[in-house]
Amino acid sequence: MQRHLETSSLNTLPTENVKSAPRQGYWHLVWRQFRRNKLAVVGLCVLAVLMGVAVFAPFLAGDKPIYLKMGNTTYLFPNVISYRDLVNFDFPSWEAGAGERIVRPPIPFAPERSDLLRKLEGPTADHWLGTDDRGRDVLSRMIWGTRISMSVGFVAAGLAILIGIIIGALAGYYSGWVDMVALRLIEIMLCFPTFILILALIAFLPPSIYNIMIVLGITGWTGAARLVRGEFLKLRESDFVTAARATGLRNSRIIFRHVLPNALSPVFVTATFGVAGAILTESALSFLGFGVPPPAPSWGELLSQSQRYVDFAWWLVTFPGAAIFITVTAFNLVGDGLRDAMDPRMRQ
Amino acid sequence: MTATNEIVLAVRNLQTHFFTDAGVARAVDDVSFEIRAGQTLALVGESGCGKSMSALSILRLVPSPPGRIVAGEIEFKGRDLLKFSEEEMRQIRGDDISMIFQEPMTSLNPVFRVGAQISAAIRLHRNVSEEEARRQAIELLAKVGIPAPEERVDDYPHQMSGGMRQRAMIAMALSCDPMLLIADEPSTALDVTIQAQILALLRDLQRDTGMAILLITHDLGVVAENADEVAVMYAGQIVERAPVKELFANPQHPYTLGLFKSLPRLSKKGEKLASIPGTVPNATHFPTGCRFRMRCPYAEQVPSEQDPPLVETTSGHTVKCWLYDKDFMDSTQRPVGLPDKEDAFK
Repeated sequence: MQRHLETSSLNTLPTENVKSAPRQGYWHLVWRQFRRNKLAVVGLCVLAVLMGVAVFAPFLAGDKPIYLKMGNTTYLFPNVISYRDLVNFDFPSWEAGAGERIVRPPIPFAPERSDLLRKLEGPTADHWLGTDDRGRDVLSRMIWGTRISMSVGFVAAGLAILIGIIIGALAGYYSGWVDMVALRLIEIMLCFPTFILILALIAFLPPSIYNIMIVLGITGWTGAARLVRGEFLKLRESDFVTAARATGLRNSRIIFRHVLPNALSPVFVTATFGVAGAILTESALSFLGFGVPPPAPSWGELLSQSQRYVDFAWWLVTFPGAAIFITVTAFNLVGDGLRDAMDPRMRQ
Repeated sequence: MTATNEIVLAVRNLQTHFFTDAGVARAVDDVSFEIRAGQTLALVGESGCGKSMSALSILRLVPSPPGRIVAGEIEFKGRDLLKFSEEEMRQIRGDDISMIFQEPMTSLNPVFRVGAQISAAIRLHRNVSEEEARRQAIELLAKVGIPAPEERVDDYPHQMSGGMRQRAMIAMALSCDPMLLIADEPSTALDVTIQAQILALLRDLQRDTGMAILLITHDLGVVAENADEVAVMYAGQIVERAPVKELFANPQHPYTLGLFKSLPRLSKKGEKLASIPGTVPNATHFPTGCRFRMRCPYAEQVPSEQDPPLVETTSGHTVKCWLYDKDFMDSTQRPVGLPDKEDAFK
């Protein structure tokens, strides 16, 4: 039965504070605080550059030109779009004739292209960071390796966070036996030496980048789960959850729409560290030969290849090592900065 | 408008217990009351006497574990809510029965805009479009007296003052035209002037909609101004029930009397405030017999094992006390009722 409500003229608030407070969202505050931390900002810039490198790898390094005018035909972006005429075309040795034009990426070497005449060369004008034992360009391999490292890092950490959020949310919201089971599960996971567990799982799976992502995801969720569980235990007692239940909302909606957004800030911090951890683990796996299958270039695999020449070919070790170091450090700096920025006690 | 004498909600012999490590806490123990359409029943009592748990029991929102409704009936529109499935219960919540809470600061979700929360509540129970729900949300905000509702609808809770948030909560509670509104200390967390505004608002809205209100409070001043009927709770039980005027004119239970005597009065300026001796018994270890026995200045020769009976002294006025039980008082050769005792509750 719909009863009509009449507006009560009486009892209206004085209009003096009609103006809302300045709309400063939570993320606005976090950003303001984050900016104060110079190291974190540097880290963020480094990550932005790395993301750019990963996304635009075909424009930075590779055989295939960005622009090609051959005869009367113009090909735009053969590096990202494949053309029927250009299948099996030998780009490296092709020279532009009269009226023709080719724009190559700044590092005109594909990561897999070997040149046995120029193997194990130090940095030169052609090969800025030298070549490896098959004459492949190290810089080109590192640029393409950024894609692998970043995607493994983000997907593995994302998967871990997703699993952690679901398990942690259910455990914290329902508590009781659900919590018991989840906690035991977490403890079992924590009992394993993670790296050995990952190696064991990888050994059973066909080598592929996706399997590495999945294995890192299903072994790395415990931290996020415990964090989300803790937040949920705290938030489930809050009035707005009772209020949401009193409105008649479903539990699933309360958990994921109402409580979860309130529990996410610490998860972002863990996620940042998680990406760094996943990149490091992937490098370690590739170094041990369990990682991304060759010839796909990954930073760990580059290090692995360089083992035999470490005595003289310093460029094979230094640059990929530095790439891993810088990336992981950048993620950790951003994570630290984010944690401090989200902590209201640090706010000034 | 609904007939004013129709009983909207009848709670009978409700028992809600908490099963804790320290033992079974009988938070709500054999509580019965009715609320009629267009009327306000005030549930009064001190902290921890079970008033909030009675209210949460009606919506079946008692935190579980450790809490559980172990017995009783909650009859709403002729059907027992305790027999409802969780799904049926969800449809009642926020639609037929809604609730507002003590802390307006925390009972709105901090990460969503106020308007979004209200329209979500509308769309949960009514099949209306997003725009229509938003339009209704603005209308509701206007109705509860929030100035510039078209702007305020997009505020986050932290951009509103406590009084405004409570108004927004009320708007949300009213969004589906509930037949019963449970107001759990709606004004306690607000300062006195805002308190009066909020209560006046609830009165106006009740007059317009004819909804029943279950008002939970520990403030007898609030009761006097807002309730039609009062139920006084002590240690999980209702010890006295009467129409508001009758209760204030003629309090019968010693506990009720103690509450009235401990109110500060302007006419007695300079005197020491009266108080009820002792403290509320622990809910896991209530004394046998009358639970007020240990603190009651009139408790002479009352049975220590048996619960006091519920006696209807005048029409509509019931009291749970041995002193009004004719058979018992006759057996001890005393007159029925409170004896004259000037020094009680000093």
